[in-house]
Amino acid sequence: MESPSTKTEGKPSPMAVLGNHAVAYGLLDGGTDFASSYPGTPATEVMEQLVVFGKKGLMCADWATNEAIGLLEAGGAAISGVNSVSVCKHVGLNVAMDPLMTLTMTGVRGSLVLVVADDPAMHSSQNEQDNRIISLISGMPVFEPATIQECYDLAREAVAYSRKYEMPVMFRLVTRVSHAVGAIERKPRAEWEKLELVHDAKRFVVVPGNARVNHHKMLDLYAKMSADAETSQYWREIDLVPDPEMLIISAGSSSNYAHEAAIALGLKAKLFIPQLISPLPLEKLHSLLKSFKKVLIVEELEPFLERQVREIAQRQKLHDLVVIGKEEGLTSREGEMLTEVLMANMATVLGLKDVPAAKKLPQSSLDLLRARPPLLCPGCPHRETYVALTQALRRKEPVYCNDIGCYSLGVLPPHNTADIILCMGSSIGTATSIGKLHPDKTAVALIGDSTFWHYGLPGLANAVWHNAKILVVVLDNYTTAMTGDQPNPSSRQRPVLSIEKVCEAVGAKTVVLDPFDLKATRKVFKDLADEEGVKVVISRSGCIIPIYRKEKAAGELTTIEVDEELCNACGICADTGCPALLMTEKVVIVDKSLCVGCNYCVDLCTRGALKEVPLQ
Amino acid sequence: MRYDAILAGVGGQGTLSVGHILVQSAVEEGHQVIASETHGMSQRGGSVIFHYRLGEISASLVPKGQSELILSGEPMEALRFLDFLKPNGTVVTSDHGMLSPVAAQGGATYPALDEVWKAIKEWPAKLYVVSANKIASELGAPLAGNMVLLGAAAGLEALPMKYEVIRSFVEKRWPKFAEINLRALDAGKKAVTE
Repeated sequence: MESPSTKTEGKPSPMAVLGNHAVAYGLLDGGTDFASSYPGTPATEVMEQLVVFGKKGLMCADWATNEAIGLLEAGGAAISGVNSVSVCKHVGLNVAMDPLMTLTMTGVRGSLVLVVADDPAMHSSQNEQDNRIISLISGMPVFEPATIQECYDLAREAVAYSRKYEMPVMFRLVTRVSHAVGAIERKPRAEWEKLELVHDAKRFVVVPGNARVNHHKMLDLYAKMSADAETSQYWREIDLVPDPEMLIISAGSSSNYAHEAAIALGLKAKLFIPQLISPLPLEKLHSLLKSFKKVLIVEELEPFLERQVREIAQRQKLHDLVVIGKEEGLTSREGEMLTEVLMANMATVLGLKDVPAAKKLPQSSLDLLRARPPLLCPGCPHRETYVALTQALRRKEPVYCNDIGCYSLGVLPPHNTADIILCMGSSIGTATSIGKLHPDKTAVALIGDSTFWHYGLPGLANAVWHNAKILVVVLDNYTTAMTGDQPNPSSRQRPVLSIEKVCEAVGAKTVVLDPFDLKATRKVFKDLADEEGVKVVISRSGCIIPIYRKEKAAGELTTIEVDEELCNACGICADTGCPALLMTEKVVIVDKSLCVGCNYCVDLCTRGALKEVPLQ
Repeated sequence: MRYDAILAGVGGQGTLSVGHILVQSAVEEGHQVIASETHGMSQRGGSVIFHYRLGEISASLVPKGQSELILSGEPMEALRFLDFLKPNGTVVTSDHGMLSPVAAQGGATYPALDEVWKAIKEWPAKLYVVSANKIASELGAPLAGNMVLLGAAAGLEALPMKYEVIRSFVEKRWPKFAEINLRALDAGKKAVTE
């Protein structure tokens, strides 16, 4: 959301922002000067806002081709003495793991904050890995905010923390914090002493002799950060009653649900909410634990806090302490928490009676519901590519190795163009071995332009090197569409890197076409499918969303009108799966609130029953 | 003050735009507000929900059974999220049914609207059906259905802000489309109050 900076008599009033935007403001005001990131839901808007700051000249911020490159740019900046940040979604961290695991050994000179947004419940992700665990193998300290104001305050704090310890810091978010909206109040921007670039090969050249020294130093530093955590006050304590009878330990988003549920159930509890979740203040926790008989640990995904609490209890011989967590059924290792579910679970594990369960919709109501999954938008060129591709390969046995992007939605009917999707850039690698091992099938790799630059390129080089028999389709809408239109090397917002030149240079037979031309597109797919070697088809047409927005702003929107005399309800147009077209027995109906007037259905109609008209 | 509401709809209808008006107007009215958006995956045609909460609360999701209001751009979406509603809470919904092509290709048809209305009322809920798309189209702005619905909810005093406050925010937020948006708001109010 935009960030209106409204002022009343000189004092800025609070402004409503996304959690992600609040993090970006905190990083800016903490004194960050450099940012490099690859987009990924739910993290994207942090970097989007940093890029806005970059355009205003407040820092140097730009998109990178993938998360490893983003972290390497930020790491290089921090080593050279500049306060820096890199932002990614949880699985993006997997791509960046290689530089990360060494950066925590070398440490940094300027600050380095790595913002990572986890996605419990997988709203838009392929897994729900819990990246808090990374701190245990990397020694990376982790901050986790619960509220929008904490997103701002702790991001600001993370910059100072990283600078103080010369250590990269993880700033962990989850979807429900990243995409929450609330008000923040800002503080003045922190000023830092400018560090000169120094040559320090002993520290930053990680040949084994130096790396052994670095590892030892990192473990010493972690011990120091642990000891300092006791007095850091990076936590909140909330007593729900004057003399609480139980302790609840919970951090981040989970602590919000724990707080609300405990109040609703009238629990006589004390909440301990760490903000620096690694390293935890173990002595502080010990002193709390020994004054209670019962502790509830409320957290989504892995028992990260719980294991550390159990360790303290064992080490300190707190034999009478009852620890209630995952195994007791308080929370799940799957999905995200909901207040009403947590309330029910709390009632069960605490043996509370008369807690009314949330009322459910009766079956008769559920029966009225119809599925409404995410879809390719009306006017999306990926639909056109899939219509042509599936028609061309109708008589063959295609294996569709798809990839991460809007085009993943090809998995849905009517396209069914996804047999395998693993991760960013997985399409070409998986298709390569299928092409080698299953010559009776047609191995197809489907990949978008942004994903091609992200991790497709090494896969393509490998496939050509091995002379694999695969058909690679680059669905080039010249933007990173799924995360909301961020630029990539072949987007049109700056000098373009040519996908076709790269493909030709590595030796792949390369064709560029416009998927709205069904006949020509279908013919190319059909002709190329059985050829030996790597064939690349670049199916190029711009993402409809920016086009639609431009037309809307200019008052130039169009829609499609149906001539009900001519339409015979043959279904050719609606069979493409366009959400704006609904087939009835006699005619097709166009939903004008969704139609963008892309004209594809007009071209498909054999009876001339459809016509583009201005929307009014 | 404590107040929870759910905004629902289909991606592309402007559900989040309405949410943003409610959030910023609450902030400027001095309320503590927290909301939660749906992001990612495709933008148009999928189910969308926006949680909206006022008061001393940090969790961004409305617990089931606590919402005062469900404001929906699509009948089935109102029903889908009905379990968020308090008993006897208010439902303001468009009567514009939209069947996903995924459902259509699986052989499903749109349920009879009367059955949807009956199911909503039996929750129990106070139901207000607004022909938002029709009204917006008649005003020459088929995409302003969200403003018609917002006008209806504000006109019913089902929101924590007065109608005039909402109106002035809409005017400020999109100066270029102020005239048509205000006409849509007023038409929405009129549809439920006259």
